[in-house]
Amino acid sequence: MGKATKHTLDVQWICTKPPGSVSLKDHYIRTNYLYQASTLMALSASSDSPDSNSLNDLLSRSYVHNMNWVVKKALIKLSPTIKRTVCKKCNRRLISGKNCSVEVTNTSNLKTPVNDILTVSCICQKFKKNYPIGKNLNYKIFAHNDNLLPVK
Amino acid sequence: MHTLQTGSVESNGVSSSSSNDANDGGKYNENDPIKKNKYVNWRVGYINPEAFYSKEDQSEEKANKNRNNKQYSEKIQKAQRRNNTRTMLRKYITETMSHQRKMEKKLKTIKRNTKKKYEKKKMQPKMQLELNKIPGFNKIPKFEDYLNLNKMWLSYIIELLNIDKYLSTDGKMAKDGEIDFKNLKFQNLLAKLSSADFNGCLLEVLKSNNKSSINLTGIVLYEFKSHFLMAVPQRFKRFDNLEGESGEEMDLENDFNYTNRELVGGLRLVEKNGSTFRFYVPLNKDENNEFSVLSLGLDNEDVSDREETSQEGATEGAVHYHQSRECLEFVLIGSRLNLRSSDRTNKKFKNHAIDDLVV
Repeated sequence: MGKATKHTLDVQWICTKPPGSVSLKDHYIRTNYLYQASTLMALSASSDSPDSNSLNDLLSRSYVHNMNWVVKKALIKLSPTIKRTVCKKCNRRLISGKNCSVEVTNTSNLKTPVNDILTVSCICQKFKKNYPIGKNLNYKIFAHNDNLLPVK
Repeated sequence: MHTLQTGSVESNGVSSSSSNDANDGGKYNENDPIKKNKYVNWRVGYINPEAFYSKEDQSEEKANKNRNNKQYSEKIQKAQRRNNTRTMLRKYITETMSHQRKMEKKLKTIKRNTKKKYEKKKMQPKMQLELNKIPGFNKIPKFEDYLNLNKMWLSYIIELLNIDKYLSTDGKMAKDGEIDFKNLKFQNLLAKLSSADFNGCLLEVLKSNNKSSINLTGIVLYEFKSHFLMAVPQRFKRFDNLEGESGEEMDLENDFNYTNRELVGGLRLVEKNGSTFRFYVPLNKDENNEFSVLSLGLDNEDVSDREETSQEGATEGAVHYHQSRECLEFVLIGSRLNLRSSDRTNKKFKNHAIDDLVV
């Protein structure tokens, strides 16, 4: 094996026709439904007196827990935008103001905007995630690129 | 994509900020109670986690701190580690079930006291309670809160079974005359149903070993390995014979005709093993252009109109077509479904050697 080549986007990526039929469509529909149901339950959980034991909160967590197992069993992959809205420890569907707090910190002395860091922290106090937001404001996830499908 | 949904929540008097303010920094006053960390530029939707958890948990923790027993603290640490989503749901269910039993006892005393008053007057007892105003009833989960989940489930199952073409519009059939169900392959539907998700389905229990759960209808909230967790409506009569002891029709507005358990409603656990379930998939849309729940008092008058399209050889049930209501009827056999819902994704059901196929 030689040296590992750098992954560059110089390779020709040209948009072609999307495939006509999706394989494993049933499982994708199921995960989609479970994700939607978990958001509905998380939003309908009582916000005035938030108990950790309210039923809607527990149900939304268990739906996400189910969703993760369906993905593992059916060998399909979730898109990163969905993964980022879910707590990895307590399986909560993260909604800012209800479950999680979102903040931008800057620990550099000069407070240069390059060093801005976005942190999402769950209410369970076990999960915290940092995104270096200042480095590239125009950053796109790889899946969100327009030209994705490769030429044969 | 590092964009944010800003302006969603204001907490403790701090106004939400747009994403452009991120680089300015230091826009807030220094005396803000939330902005304790000096490195924080801005913050959205902050919740104090200590306020989030209930007071009972905090008091337990304080009590545990006072005890300096090492063994005791280790026990608690182990128990806290086991606080999964699964275990916490189980804990919640046992608490609410015991709470429901307390409420049943409360109703029992109310009924007894009112009955004495009517006996003095030598009249038949009559009463209509406002259940939600009785203290303690707010804790019991209600059936009506989960109707939106059932609407979502119906749109899911129609998308999964791929029966959009058979849907009728404006109360009339899509095609002239009857629907051609010859093209619809039921065995394909059953294979899809074996890997479907039943959270949010409105199920009716046809048969079970436990007599108290026969003819229950409710929305499935969660599917365990061997049980369905259902939310059951208040004041729902389970049996069709609405005749009293004297042969007259039962007065449904009188609370004395219900048992205490029917009045309370709430959560029920129904065992899968040895029980059969039924659910409908409607082919009609509502006035609001939505798939609504069928009427709860599912009448059994139209049994004669039912046509059995495929009966034998079904993996987990038989399919009927309900002519009068324009909906598909499915019957699940619970003892076949005795698996975890996530384990059913790649499971293939076999047709041979079925002992329980008696619908």
